[in-house]
Amino acid sequence: MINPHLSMNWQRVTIYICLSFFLIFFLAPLYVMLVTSFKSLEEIRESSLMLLPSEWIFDGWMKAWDHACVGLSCNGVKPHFMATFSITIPALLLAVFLGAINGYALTQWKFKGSDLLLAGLMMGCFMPFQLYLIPIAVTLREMGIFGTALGLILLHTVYGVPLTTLLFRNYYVSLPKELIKAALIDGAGFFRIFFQVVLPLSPSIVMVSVILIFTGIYNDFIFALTFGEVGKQPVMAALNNIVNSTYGVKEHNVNMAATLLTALPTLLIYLVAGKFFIRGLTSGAIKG
Amino acid sequence: MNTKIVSSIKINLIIFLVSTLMVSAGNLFAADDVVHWWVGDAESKALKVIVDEFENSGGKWVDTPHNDSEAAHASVKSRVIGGNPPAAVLMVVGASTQEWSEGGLLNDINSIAIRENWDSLLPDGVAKASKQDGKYVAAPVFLSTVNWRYTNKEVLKSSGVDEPMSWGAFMTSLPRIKQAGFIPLAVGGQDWQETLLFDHVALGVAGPQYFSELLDGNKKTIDSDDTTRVFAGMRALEPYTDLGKAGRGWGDTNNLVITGKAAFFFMGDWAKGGFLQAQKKPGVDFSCQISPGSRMVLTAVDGFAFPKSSSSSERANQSSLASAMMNRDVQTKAALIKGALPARKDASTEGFDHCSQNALALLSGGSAALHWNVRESGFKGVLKEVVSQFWNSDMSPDQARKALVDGLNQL
Amino acid sequence: MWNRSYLLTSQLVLLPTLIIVVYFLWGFTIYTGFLSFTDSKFLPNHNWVGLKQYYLLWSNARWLTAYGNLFIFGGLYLLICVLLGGLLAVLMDQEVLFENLFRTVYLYPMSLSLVVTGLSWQWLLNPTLGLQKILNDFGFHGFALDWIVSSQYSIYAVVLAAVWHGSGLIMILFLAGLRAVDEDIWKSINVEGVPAWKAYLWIILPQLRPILLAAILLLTFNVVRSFDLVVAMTSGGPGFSSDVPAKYIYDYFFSRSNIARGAAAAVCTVLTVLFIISPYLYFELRKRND
Repeated sequence: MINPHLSMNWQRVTIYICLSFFLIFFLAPLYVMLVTSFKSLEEIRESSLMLLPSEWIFDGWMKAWDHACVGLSCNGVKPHFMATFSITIPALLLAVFLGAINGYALTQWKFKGSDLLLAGLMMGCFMPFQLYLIPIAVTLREMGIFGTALGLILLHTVYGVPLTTLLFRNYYVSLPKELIKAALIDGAGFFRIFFQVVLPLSPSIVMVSVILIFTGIYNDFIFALTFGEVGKQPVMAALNNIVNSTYGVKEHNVNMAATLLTALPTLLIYLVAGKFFIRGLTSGAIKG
Repeated sequence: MNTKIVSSIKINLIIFLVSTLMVSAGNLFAADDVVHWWVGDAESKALKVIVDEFENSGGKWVDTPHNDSEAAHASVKSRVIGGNPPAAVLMVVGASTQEWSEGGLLNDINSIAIRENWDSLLPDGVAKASKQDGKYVAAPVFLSTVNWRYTNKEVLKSSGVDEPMSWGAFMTSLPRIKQAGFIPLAVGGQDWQETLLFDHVALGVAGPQYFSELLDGNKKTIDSDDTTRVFAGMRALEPYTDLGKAGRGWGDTNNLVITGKAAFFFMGDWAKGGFLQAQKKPGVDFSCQISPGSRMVLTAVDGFAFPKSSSSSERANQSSLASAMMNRDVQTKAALIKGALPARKDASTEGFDHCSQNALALLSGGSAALHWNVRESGFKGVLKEVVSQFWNSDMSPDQARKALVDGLNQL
Repeated sequence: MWNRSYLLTSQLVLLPTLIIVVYFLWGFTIYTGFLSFTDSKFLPNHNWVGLKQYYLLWSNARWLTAYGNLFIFGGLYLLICVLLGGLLAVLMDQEVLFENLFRTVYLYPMSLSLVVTGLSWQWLLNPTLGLQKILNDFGFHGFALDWIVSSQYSIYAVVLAAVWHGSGLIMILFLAGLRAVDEDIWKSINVEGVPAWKAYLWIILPQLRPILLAAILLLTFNVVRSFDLVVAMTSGGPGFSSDVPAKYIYDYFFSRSNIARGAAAAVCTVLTVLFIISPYLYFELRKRND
């Protein structure tokens, strides 16, 4: 209090020290994985985990990409990437499309029971998937699509729709009613209004849903593990299989490179389109 | 006017859905893979022998490896519920195969077994374990011996300790090895590994008689002071293990002994393959003894079972898999690599090292019992759960005994 | 006339969603509930055995551990995330330089999967490889960070990883709330001469209650689905000390071939979460409506 200016400075210093401490806390795992993935196995054994590699080696990354082994199969994570994308993209399109049209139908055309439907959907967002596993297995068996990409597309669509519906509903609630009315007077039909009036007004919410659902499906583990196609499991299940493989010498460089490789797509999306990512995470919360 | 748009959208949607359905319908029930957990170096190479035989006879092997038996069976069970089972799955032949078979989950492979006259090729015990209601439901490949102690001789030498041949000597050697800076006892961090440790303590502390009664589920024996002593004996080992044991697989744990970081490791015959792959010589660099102080070998039969499927092409595939697995040369060659004994009587034992010869001698001498892993899933589930809980907590030996008794009573 | 056809179309397009709600959400829930009253083992069957599975469940030591861990994990995770997220948000609200950098770094774990999170913390907390070794190598020989290998503390290791993953989300939510606080409130606080920390604690943060509600709901969602993190990080071990209901259910469904017991565990888990969440939800929402 003697020198208010000084005390102010001390406060600022403390703030920056705190912020930097947590900066290190949040970056540490990424840093360790990154430097370790470029080290040789001897160096991992002998030097400290925190040091930079004395020699940058890419073997770990190459091996993780297409010849890391589980037993006799040495394919790395590459085939699993393809499998994941072939599931993620159709499911993503379906879930977002259905969510958008649901949001539009629920907000613009009020009818009895729509609130009930919404409440029923919200419940779906909160339940552990474990509750559904056995009935899912039985249903997929009856449909003959257990252990196929189509089965996973169906599941991710079904369990993605509640989220996208809520997102679009919250967004469309504030859509000016006059727009729809004007379109009605022009004699436009239900779908024409949707495609030509409503959808062009919602690029940002579409972006938000796409990113959120992509991240969700891509990062999914339990469906991938339980219902994934033999040999073509989605990446997260494959990653766990490769890394937690418990035989021979643990190749930490390969394991960490594999982990980083699989983390890369969502990390990139976050870095490139962070704004939409954040809005997706928070939009339900702020409005809800 | 707008109906045009609507109907064109509808048509597009229908075309899209139908076409995706048709694409996927092509792969329906195309699963003809083999699920297993033989992913260790030596195990993979042993499996490769079976794969080659099967592919030479015109089959196409689709490999589905898992990291351990639990993950493998969890996956197969969910696939059975989902109506998409694999062609074959690795199993401990006996109670498990019988349980699966009673649940109506397995195809029998009796026709190929009769054609190839398996009854005359297999020891009676193995044949019996592979059957349910008189029909073969599993193709036995190996006779595994489970209760081995692997010792790194170099580590013992550096610690100034002779190889201990009794439980008492074993216990007194541990502190001296620790003092010399080695890990005395390598232990993994999975419940089945911890329960293998329990086997040795039970055999060493309470003896073979006690242990076989325990495996038979004899309630009086299980609720006796011997059980308390066994748990206490297990606790006494804890100071001689290392911190890295949590969650560690057996392969990594085995490596501690192979690379001279640890002195002893209790594991089944499959661990020997790791030593051989590392060019270590049995009897020179390392030695294998059954549980110190006991003369009893615990055995299990490894084989493949064949989940139910109705298609005749699938059944034919299963038959030719079974035939490849039962091939004499395959079993001999694979057993040598894996460190196990072949299931067939007529397979040659030439070239087997002293560990396997030792096992053979004990087996023909008659001091053998079936391991708990051959028991039904309820019994072994409770045993593993209690042992693992005890080992990883500060539960007292008395509490562990009570938990074991209660758990078995609730089955 | 027009209106009716639009209404009909809007109901028709909602048909798939109705199927989802009735069949895939509620139908499945009821079916799993039903299975918990049967003796289903390998495959689902319909032999009614009443409450037997519930009795067996609650006398099973592993379940009691897993159920207890739900509270330890859930409680600590929520608490620490909210405290840490709140602290970071307040710090970030001090017109700091490089705000973008800090924000990006604090939040990036949220884009990673829980499997990746679990694996990376498994390495960092491994006593023979990670932080403990690093600090010991630096000369701090007494330093022990062996949570992950200790049956007493393994669940706290899982909490640590989960907090790392989730607290950025709370930071972002709170920061948005702080930015929306009325200028006039800050003016009057400055006029009164209230110290900043007091102002935050007693005046500003209480205004963020609705955001806190949302934050807690979002985090609860992660608690219930903690399966991925535990499987990747500890597999429930050592022993089953870091087991959680989500993993217990999965194991009983598929490893232990005891579908009915797994279903009973699932029902108990869901009911527990509903019991805890609904009074809070009710209380908060009613207050908001008033």
